[in-house]
Amino acid sequence: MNDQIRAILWAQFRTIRNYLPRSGWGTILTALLSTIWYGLFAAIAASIALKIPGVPVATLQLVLPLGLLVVLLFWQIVPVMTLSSGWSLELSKLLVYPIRQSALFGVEVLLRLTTAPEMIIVLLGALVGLARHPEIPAAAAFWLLLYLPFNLLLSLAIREWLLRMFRRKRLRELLIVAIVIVTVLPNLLVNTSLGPKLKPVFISVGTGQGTPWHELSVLALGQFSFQALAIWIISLAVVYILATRQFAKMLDMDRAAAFESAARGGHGTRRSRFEWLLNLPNRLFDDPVAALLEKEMRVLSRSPRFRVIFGMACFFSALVFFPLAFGRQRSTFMEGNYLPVINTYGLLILGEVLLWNVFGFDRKAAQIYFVAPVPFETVLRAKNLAALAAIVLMTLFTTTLGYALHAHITPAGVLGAFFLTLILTLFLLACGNLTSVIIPRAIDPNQAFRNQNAGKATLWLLVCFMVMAIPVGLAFLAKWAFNSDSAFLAILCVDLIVGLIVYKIATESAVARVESGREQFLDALSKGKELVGQ
Amino acid sequence: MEHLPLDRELGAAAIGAGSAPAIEISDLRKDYNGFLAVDGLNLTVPQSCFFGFLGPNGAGKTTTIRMLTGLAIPTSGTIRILGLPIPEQAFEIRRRIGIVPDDTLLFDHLTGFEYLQFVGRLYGLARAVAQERSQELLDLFELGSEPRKLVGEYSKGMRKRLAMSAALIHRPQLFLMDEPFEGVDAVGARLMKDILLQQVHSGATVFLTSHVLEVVERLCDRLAIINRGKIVLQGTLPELRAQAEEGAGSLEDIFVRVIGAERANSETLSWLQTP
Repeated sequence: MNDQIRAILWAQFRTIRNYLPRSGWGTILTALLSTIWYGLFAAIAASIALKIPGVPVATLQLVLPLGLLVVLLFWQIVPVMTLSSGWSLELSKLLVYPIRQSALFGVEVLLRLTTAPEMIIVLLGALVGLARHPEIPAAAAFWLLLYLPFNLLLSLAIREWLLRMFRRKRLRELLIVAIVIVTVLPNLLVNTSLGPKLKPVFISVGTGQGTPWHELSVLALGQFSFQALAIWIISLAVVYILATRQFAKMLDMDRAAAFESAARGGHGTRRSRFEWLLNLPNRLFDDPVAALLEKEMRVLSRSPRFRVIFGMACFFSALVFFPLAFGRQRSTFMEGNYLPVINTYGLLILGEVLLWNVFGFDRKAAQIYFVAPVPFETVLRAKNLAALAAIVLMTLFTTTLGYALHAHITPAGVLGAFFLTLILTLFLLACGNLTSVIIPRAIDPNQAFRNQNAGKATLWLLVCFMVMAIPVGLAFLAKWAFNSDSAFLAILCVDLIVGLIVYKIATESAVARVESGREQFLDALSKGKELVGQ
Repeated sequence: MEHLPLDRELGAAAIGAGSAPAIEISDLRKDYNGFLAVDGLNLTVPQSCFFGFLGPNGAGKTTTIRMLTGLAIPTSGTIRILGLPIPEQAFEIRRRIGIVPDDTLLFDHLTGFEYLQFVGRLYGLARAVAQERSQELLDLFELGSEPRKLVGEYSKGMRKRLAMSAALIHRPQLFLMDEPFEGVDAVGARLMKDILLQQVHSGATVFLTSHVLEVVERLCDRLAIINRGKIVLQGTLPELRAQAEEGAGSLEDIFVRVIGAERANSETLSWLQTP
């Protein structure tokens, strides 16, 4: 391995090794969630490994290429859907050193292993299963390993292309819409008539001769042919060229950004089209809450990360649940609770930037909250108000979108959904205020893609959601048990009171916690980028 | 000095509010898991004084400033700022101090104007006043020519100048500054020094750390040198000269004698000497 690649990986390894012993229960929790998440895929891989030896080769000839296509789609599309791309190089830290581009490219390709490790586990399960198959030569199964470099390179090409697109202002917004459509597609396929219509197309694409997944399954099933090998060599060459080109373009862009940032800016005043909205806090509140709130809104509205996530929360939740509520295989529950469900899902998406880690975007600047004469509780409440404003906007947007999609939404339903979202938000803010001060971490507001593994983060959020959804669930239970909207509203009123109490206690605890542990809090937010971003 | 066209009522009311020293530190300690970053520090800084706090890297300067600003909590000892004890009166103290930290704490996604206005309002200025002062400070520090530029796009020197503007906006009684001139060009540094001197002349106190000894020598009327968490020398420059060994002329001589004398005299690496 190239010395420079080895040096970069060693430095990152040492960074993690030096960091781990100092981490607290947050790391333990992450490790636990990782174990559950990857354990799930390990179980899938194990069952594949056990099942394959009993499947006739003729069936495998049909199923394996389809399976490989699914692996490819998961590997390439899920990170796009979840805006999570795994670890990547912090090129801004490395550009000053005389590192060859090929070395950086090599490390970046290796880091793509973190994009979808779930699929590597599944592939290994398939490999073991094929090697154990009595009618297939054991060595042939190892052809499956070719799928690793193919997917790593393709994943790198897609990531670099998307990142470049996300840096272009108008393209970024278009890209969000495109991602939403891609994300909603599987749901539409399953729950609308589009699915059965496109199923033969998917099967023919999956089993079509000449495709990389089909030719790989030919090789892996022990039916070696020079045609299949040639197609694979060409496929690998194509993705290699794609990846190197996209990487080089991204590198050029980073160089330009690193050395020409001072030249940016410009003349004239920076006035947003939504200036009236950004000035709204000044009409509703006094300083310092108004100043804090206005600052929050300006910072959030200029953060590419927030804009992408907010866009996803507005579009994604409304579209993804539409087929389930009003499609071919509609669910009665979904039909009756479309708005509450989509708003709840929107909250899940927004949680990362608005609820769980509210000081993440502030990073080192969070120190100002301790040197300015403003109570920390006021800062926290202002951040919560900013979150609430964004959530109300999202709710208005999803409701409007629901009407535009001709969903059956009644005014009472809209009111109920608002009420429910408010209560859920209250509980989430209570929990978020605690997590924001107990396990704070710096987030780059310019990074549209998050680097951490989306699966684990989503799992953690889901666990929190499940606990906090209990009070709201009780309201639904009352509605179902008594078949009465009054019972539903009565429980929601009780929930609101409980939510306010929980919020008050949690916020006071968060303030007490940060007052006594402000050094650790600020240290955690001051942590800069390492060579490899997690 | 004609610049700094600020409303002086707030500051004038605050400045000279009491006769207590600007800073009183008694037996201050800060222990980081067994490592004593600050070890029994005793220090008094009178009001209307330009105080230089010197020391080699890792001596405990930044830790001391962090404790003075309330960002770090002392392990033991007492601190009184403008006669008020920390942390009991931390909130009141914060209103009266202006801070330029070593690592500027700025919000990258605000413009310079928005940032200053935000800080001004946090310090209790009315919105209109904060806006007016922000624009005046931006013009004064030559940051007003690119109003659309976000703080994240500022150079290091510009960030320091903005941090200095933010420290000035509420006209504090005491300035706590960690390496305020680092990364600032000569013109900007001169402007900053002039403003600080003007503030001292009108009753404010400046407590600064700097590695540029010539600057400290020229600006400060009292000094303290800290090494390994302890004050090794303090007083006016003539007093320091008297305390140091004979022949110590400049502040650099005094500093090197006090700090450098304790260091092992290592020879230059042989491979660095080969042509």
